[in-house]
Order: sequence, then structure tokens, then C-alpha cells
Amino acid sequence: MFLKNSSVKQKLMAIVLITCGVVLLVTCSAFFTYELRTYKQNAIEHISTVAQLIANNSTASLAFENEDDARAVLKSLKAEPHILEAVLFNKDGKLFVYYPENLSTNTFPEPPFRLGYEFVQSDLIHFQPVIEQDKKLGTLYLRSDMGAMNERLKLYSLIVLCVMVGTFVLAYFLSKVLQGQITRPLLALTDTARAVSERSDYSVRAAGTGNDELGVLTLAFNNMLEQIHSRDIALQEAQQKLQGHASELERRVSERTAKLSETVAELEAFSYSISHDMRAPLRAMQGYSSYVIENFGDKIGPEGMHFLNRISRAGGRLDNLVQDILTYSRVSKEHFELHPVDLDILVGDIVQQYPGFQSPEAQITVQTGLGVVLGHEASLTQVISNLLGNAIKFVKSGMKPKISIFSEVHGTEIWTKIEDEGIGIAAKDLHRIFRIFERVHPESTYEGTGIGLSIVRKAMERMGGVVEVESELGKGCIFTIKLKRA
Amino acid sequence: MEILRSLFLKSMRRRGAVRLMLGAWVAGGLAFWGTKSHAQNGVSREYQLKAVFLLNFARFTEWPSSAFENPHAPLVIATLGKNPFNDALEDVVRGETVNGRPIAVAHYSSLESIEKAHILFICESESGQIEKLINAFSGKPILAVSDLENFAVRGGMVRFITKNNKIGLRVNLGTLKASQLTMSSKLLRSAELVGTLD
Repeated sequence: MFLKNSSVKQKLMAIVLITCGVVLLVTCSAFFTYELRTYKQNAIEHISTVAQLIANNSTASLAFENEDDARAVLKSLKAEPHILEAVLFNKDGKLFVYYPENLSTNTFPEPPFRLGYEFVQSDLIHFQPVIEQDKKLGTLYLRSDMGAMNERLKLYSLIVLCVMVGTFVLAYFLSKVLQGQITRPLLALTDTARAVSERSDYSVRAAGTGNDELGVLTLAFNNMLEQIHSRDIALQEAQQKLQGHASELERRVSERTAKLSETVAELEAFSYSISHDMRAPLRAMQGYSSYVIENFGDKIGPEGMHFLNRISRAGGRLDNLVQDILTYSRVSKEHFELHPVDLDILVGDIVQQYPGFQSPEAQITVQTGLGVVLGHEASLTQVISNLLGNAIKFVKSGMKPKISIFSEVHGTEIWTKIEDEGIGIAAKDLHRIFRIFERVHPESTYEGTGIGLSIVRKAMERMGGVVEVESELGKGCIFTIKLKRA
Repeated sequence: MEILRSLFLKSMRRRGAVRLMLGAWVAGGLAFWGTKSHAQNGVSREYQLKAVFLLNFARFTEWPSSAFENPHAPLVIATLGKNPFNDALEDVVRGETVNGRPIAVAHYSSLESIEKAHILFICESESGQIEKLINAFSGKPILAVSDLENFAVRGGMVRFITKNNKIGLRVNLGTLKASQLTMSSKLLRSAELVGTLD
């Protein structure tokens, strides 16, 4: 619709004006048509009456061929200024007399005459038989000017135009004044809605009006705002409460974390000092038991020697344990910075330095181009030698360990994999192996302290990397260490 | 538009002229036929017209009902004396009726021989006894008409006056009133009136 984007005010006014205009037009057209019809009808009736009168008065004149009398009768038409021509014909259709006298006889109609009225151009003509006692004595012809009708129609048109213009102007001003009844509350509503949506201010209220639909709408709108407002307040309160809770929670967490790390630090310091302090007595025990075996072995006898050897071996195991614990705490606590480490060099050195990693003890295949990673050299050495040590250790007795080392590049990371063909790890145990002091096998089968993989995990964490394992029981395992590319 | 209209009007006028000529020719033919019939009944146009006028009197005049034997009795137009109409009167009334009455024509040679007459034309032959005739018809419902000099002035009812080749009427109101006849005012208006009503 053409009014689609105009304001309600304009729409209302347009509706009023269009309705007004159409109604007026229809009314005026009807009035006009009626007037035209009536006027024509009146003109026809009038000319017919006049014709009858004249004809009736002309009978004797025609019957006795008295032209003067007929002329006098026609002259009475002077009182009818709209009659332009009047002609009497005798019963043979011959011209008898005519009125007014200055007419040109050339234009007179000729028989046969069509009785009755007829509109010819702007005139009305009429033929009336002149009858006396059922005897037709002649015919009367009248021509009447319809100019008066045209004049009158022109006047009517002017009046209609004036009325329409006047009514239109009146309707315009009236609607302009009265439309406020509808638009004012609407505009108030719109303003309120705009204030709400622009400023998110739910405390504003639309000005209320009467009890009509708009009043109800305004009331409903205000109620809605009321509800939203109260909900908004409740929400804000809830948020504040929640925030309070959150900060309280945060505070508590940080408190506990602080306490916890303090405890952990204490614990670590404690274990470190114990481990460290244990080494001196341990050395003494090992040293003196070796001394007794060497120097007094023959005096003690074989049975005493057996127990002394057991003491010495147990001391050795305890020393390993203490060393591992110290390594773990060092890895955990030591501050270090990351540097690029060439894995090719690092792995090559490790394999060469440990006799256990070389043929024929083990078969280790190292792929070249392992890559350069960001790491801490000493820790990384610890990680790789631990993993290699495990790979060699956990094989079926009598089997020769086979190990391959290779790298894959994944985005910004290098994944270095150590794959063996050992006994593998059962799926149920996979989650345990990186925990400290966890052992999958009893010490009697595969000796060890249960700390090696914990050290690996801790070191990898400290270097910002990850260690993962994939394995199946009896099918070997693949350890993957993931570090940032240098 | 204007040119078209003027052309149309011209053509109309020309056509009108043709029609006028045609009309004139037809009228001429009729006139010829008229003179022929005139020759047949051997009467002048004057009496032809007077015959029509006599019939027309019947249409503009009312007779008392006592003048007729019954509602269907014919209205009688009669002549007294030497008939100047030949058959013109008979020709004119043929097939005509007035107020549902047929019209009869009678010719009487003398006053005494008159049996029935509603309209009576007194011929020139009777000029000698005008006074007698006037007295005879006075107060009777007979519309007496004559060409005779001073007929109306002397108490006759209607006289035909020929003037300028036209026939006029002269009516004596006193005689008319006494006769119990009612003549239409329209007829009276086109007539010259003499006499008084009292």
C-alpha cells in the first residue's frame, strides 16, 4: 500500500480524507444524476403541458382557418422564454402559423411528424397533435431551449465543487485535531518503547489514557515494563550475589592452593633432605659391608658371607631409590630455561654412552632427522634414557630388545616416538604407569624403583610438553613425547 | 469540428430544399387532384371550405339532449333553399362522427318542409324571407348559418363573411343564448361577435 511507510497520523488523516472524498463524490454524483434526470423530466413535462395547452386553444383556429387567432394563441408563449419556436401545421401538414414572427420558415420540420418529445442537440423538441372531439385538426411543434438546464448544471457543478473543497478542508482540519485522540497515546507508547530499547531503562512508564483499546494497550505495556523492571532488579541482585560467591570461592581456592603448595613444598623439602641425609649412612653401610667381605670373608664363613652380600645388595637398591627420588625432586623443583635441543645429537650421545644400549645387548634403530625441539637438555636426556631403559628392561627373558626411534612433525610440534617390541602394558594399567611408586610388575620379576616414568612425566610437564603411551599387552608399546619445534 | 458541422448543416439545408420542392410538387399534385374533384362535384373552393366549417361547427357546439331523439340519433346538417354545395357536404361528412353520433345531410326546399336540422345553412335563394326564417328558428336548438348580408346583425346566429379571400365568422350572442346551444369559447374567440347576452 502506498501509505505503508508513512506515520499513523498520516494514515489516519489519509483514511478520513479518502473516505470523505469518496462519500462526497458518490453523494454528489447521485445528487447530480438525480438533478439532471429531474430537470429533464420536468422539462419534458413542462413542454408537454404547454403543448397541450396551446394545442387545445388552437383547435378552433385550425378548424375555422383563423390565422390571426392562432397567432394570438401562440403569442401567449411570450410568457415562456425557453420556448424558442412554436409552429402550427394543419391536418395536411402544411404550415399554418408560427411564433415568433422573425423565424426563418426553412428550418421548420416537415411531415410526417414523430409525436412526442425528443432531445435534439441542446434543445428539446415536441410534437403535439391538435385534436377536437377525436378529430385531428393539425400538429403543434415546439422547440425549447435546454440552455437553462446547462446553466443550472454548471451552477450545480460549481456548488458541488465548493462543497467538496470546503468539506475536504473541514475534514482535513477536523481529522488533524481529532486524530490526536488516537495518535497521542500511540506516540507516548512509541516514545516509551524507544526509551526502553535505547537506554534499557525499564523504569519509564507510558502516559495512561482512557479505557479504550489504546488505554488497555498502554496499561498492558506498563504492566509488562513493571514486570521486566522487577525481574531486571532481581537479576542484578542475583548477579551480584553470584559474583560475591564467585570471588569468595576464588579467595578460598587461592587460600587452599597456597596452603597446599606450602605443604607440597614442605613435603618435597622434607623428602629431599631425608633422601640426601640418608645417603651418607647408606654409603657407610655399603662401604663397611664391602670392607668386611673383602677382609674378613674367610673368617665369617660362607653363611655369614651370604647374608653380608644380601645386606650389600639391599643397600645398592636403597641407593638407587634415593637417587631416583632426588632426581624426581630435582626435576620438579629445578629452575630451568628452554633452549633448542638437537634430538639427533642428544639421542646419539645417549645410545653411545650406555653400554646396555648397544649391540649385541639391544638393537636400537634411530631414524635421522629427529628434529630440533625447545627443551632442557639434561631433563630431556633423563626422559629419553629412562624411556630407552624401560624399553630394554621390559622384554621376555631371553629376548633381545628391538627399539626404533623416529619423529613426526605436527604443526608447531615435533612428536618423537620410541617404539619397542616388549611385553607391552595391559589397557587397565595404562593410566597408572606415570604415577610415582606405581609398579605394574613385582620387583622380583623386573627390578626398579617405580619412579622412572614419573620423572619422565614431570620433566615433560616442566618443558611444556606431553608424554603419551599406546600399548597392548604382549605387543610392545609406543611412547610419544611432544615438544614445541625450535 | 466546426468545418464538419457547417458541411453537415449545408447538406441538411440542401436536403431540406429538396424536400420542400418535393412537398411543393406533391401539394401541387393534390391541388390538381382537388380541382379535379372540384370539377367533379362542381363547387368552388369557397363552398368546399364552408362545408368543412359546417361540420366543424358540430365539433365546437353542444346541443341540448332534447334536440336528439336518442343518444345514437344522427346529427343532421341541412340546407334550406337552392343547394350551392352540390355533393361537397356529403363528401365532407362521409365517415365522420361527432360525440359518437353519425352525421346526416339533408336538403330542404322550404321552411315548411324542414323535418330535422341541427345545423342549417340558409342559402342565397332564401334572401327574401330572412326575417321570417330568423323568427322561425329563434329559441330553437338550431344552429342557423348563412352567407346573407346582415344575417347575424339582424338576429341570425352565424354568418360567413368572405373578406380578403378568407372566410370569417360572425356570431350573434343573443340569438345563440336564446337557442340553448353552447358554443365553445374557442370558436367564439375566432369569431366576430355581435348582439348582447341579455
